[in-house]
Amino acid sequence: MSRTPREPNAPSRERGFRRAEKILAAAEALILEGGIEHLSAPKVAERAQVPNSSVYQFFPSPTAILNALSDKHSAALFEATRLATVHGHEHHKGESFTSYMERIVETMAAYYARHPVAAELFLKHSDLPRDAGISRLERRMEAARFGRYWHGRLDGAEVPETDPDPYLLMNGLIEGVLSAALREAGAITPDWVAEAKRSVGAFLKAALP
Amino acid sequence: MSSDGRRKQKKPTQARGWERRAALITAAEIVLDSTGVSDFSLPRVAEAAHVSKASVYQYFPTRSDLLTALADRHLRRMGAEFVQIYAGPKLHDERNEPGTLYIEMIKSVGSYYARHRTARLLLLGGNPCQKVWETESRNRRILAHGIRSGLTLLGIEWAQAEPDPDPLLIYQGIVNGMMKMSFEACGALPDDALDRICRAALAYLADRGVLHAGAGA
Repeated sequence: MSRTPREPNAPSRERGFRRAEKILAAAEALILEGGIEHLSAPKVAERAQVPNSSVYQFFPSPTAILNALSDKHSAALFEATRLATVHGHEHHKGESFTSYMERIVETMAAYYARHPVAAELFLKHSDLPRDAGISRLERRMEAARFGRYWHGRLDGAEVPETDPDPYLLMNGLIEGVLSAALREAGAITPDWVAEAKRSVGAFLKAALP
Repeated sequence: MSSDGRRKQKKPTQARGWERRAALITAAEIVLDSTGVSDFSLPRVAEAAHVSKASVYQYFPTRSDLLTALADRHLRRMGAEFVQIYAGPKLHDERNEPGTLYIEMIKSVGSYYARHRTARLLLLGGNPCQKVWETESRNRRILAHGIRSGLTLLGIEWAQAEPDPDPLLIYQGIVNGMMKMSFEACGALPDDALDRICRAALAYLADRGVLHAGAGA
């Protein structure tokens, strides 16, 4: 076996990575200004101050940009809720699953407030590109499995697995209410977060066997 | 967002014009069903309708205008289907359980979405563009108002002051969000999911103290 070859373009890779980040940041700014529908490669290139060709090099189409953004935010949103879980494990011993879910709602609302592009993609837009939709659904299914685990652990609940998974439906409920908040109040205000928690409470009381 | 040279959307003045417009909306539905939102375009609609691009632009200057028109059509049809139930004998039955109105509404809307994929793409959860988002937001307020009027017609008075945030807007958020999730997760709205949606929505309304019997309470 030969020696591992030196990576000749390692520095340029590093530069390439930074350039891709820059392009995504420009795309986020454009989405916030004009919505997803007006995203185009030339506009992104202009905003990022890079040549058109370099946008195409990383992202062959606007769809690829949306996929990358969606992937980044679904991963980060999931990570944020997972951290809230770990926090709960250490500091919230003896809490009920309802208050666990209320913390998840707060975490989600806070994430969307900090990242308006995520709200634009997940709460305002109805039809993400196929790949983005799939990767997002996978994260949500993972979150649903977490929910099931903690429900069992905190409340001793044993909810039969059905299709669609009830915990996934609960995730849909939360996002439906947060989306309604954006419609009505233009932002996820504390009043609406309180109602999202209340609706989760209603779901847990009435919709799980 | 509109450019300077933007053409005005033509309002047909003759029956033939309305028919053409309706035919374009039907073609748009077929195109949207096969392309999804991101690849939906006016030239594709022109091709599907066997008309020139210019005649599409004449009625619908932008893609948003055509998507909005299709969304409106779906809403009107969804409303018409529900009104049939609403006017039916079920709601005037004295033995109605609390929440009958809502359950019938959820079932009716759910069955419409199950049969119309493009309605899901346009209306369920989010919307494909800013224009449909704004129209839909207005429509949800109109629906909330409609539910209140309906309940009043049935002799049920709402509390004097409107609670804020409006429970009927949150009710719609719950129903839409859960339905969307069900379609995304398994491509359908099984009875089991529908049942959970009804339970969650009704429990929420009850918790806000605004759940009334469907009739004769």
